[in-house]
Amino acid sequence: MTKSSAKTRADQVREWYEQYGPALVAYASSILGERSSAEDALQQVFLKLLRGAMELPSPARPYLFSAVRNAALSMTRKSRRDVPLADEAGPDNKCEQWFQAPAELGYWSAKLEGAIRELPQEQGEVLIMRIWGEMSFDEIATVLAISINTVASRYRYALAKLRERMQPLEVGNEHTAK
Amino acid sequence: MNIQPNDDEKFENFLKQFRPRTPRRLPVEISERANRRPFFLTWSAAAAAVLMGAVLLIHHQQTRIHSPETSPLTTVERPINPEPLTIRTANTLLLRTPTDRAALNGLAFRSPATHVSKGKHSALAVLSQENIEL
Repeated sequence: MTKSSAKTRADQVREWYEQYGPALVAYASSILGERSSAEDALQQVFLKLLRGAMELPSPARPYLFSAVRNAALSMTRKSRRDVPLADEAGPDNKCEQWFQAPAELGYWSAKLEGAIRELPQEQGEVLIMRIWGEMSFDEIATVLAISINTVASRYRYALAKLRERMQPLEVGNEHTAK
Repeated sequence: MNIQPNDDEKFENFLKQFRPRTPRRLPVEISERANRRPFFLTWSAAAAAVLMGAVLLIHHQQTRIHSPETSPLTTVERPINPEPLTIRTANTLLLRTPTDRAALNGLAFRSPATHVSKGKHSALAVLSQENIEL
């Protein structure tokens, strides 16, 4: 491989990281339950791509979600053998929060994260891929190796549960209520 | 502002206002360092070889310094007793050295190849010829 093609590859991988990284890390967080491990899974995948361990995928997005999913599931299996620490940082830690939002939606950011955590994993991952990964049902079905109908069904359930848990509140009232 | 949308599309748009947080930067420099590994390893090996050579040289020099030939004891004794070992030189050594142990060491570490000048006798040679019955 020539130096120029290596540079092109690195640039391409970096571009994907910028573009899909936030959605991918949210996706991995929904599987692993915490953000730092999710970032580890993400970096694992992208470093493999950077080192040229595999051909650059096309289309990239379904492949990246699939690879991050595999890395996260692998880490989940490994972490089951480990004893969790009692005082591990929870979602209150700013660095651990999954989402950032305009100031007026600050409260909702934590509420949204909590609601997604409460979803069954198969529904949460479809929701994240659809909303923040901006993937079609077809692409999600490819990643999860399930039918499009199943994807659509899981998505509808997830959306309904999320709406139910995020009760209608006005932002101004919410701030005074706290 | 009522933030609860009435239908799925509005709710989706509402959710999209929340942006997933950006992950920490990709450690590209680690990958680039990995690509330079052969070059780096070559230089590391060369540096290690030079260092090892230096350590061996220093160790060798220190061994020479602490060897009996160059120890402070013998460097002191040689000017005192440059002559071959005779009864007289042995007595002189016993008188001039601070301890008996130092004097015995001075006698013990003499070169066996030392030649006795004409008209003189080696104390060891004389003693070795005597028939001592215990």
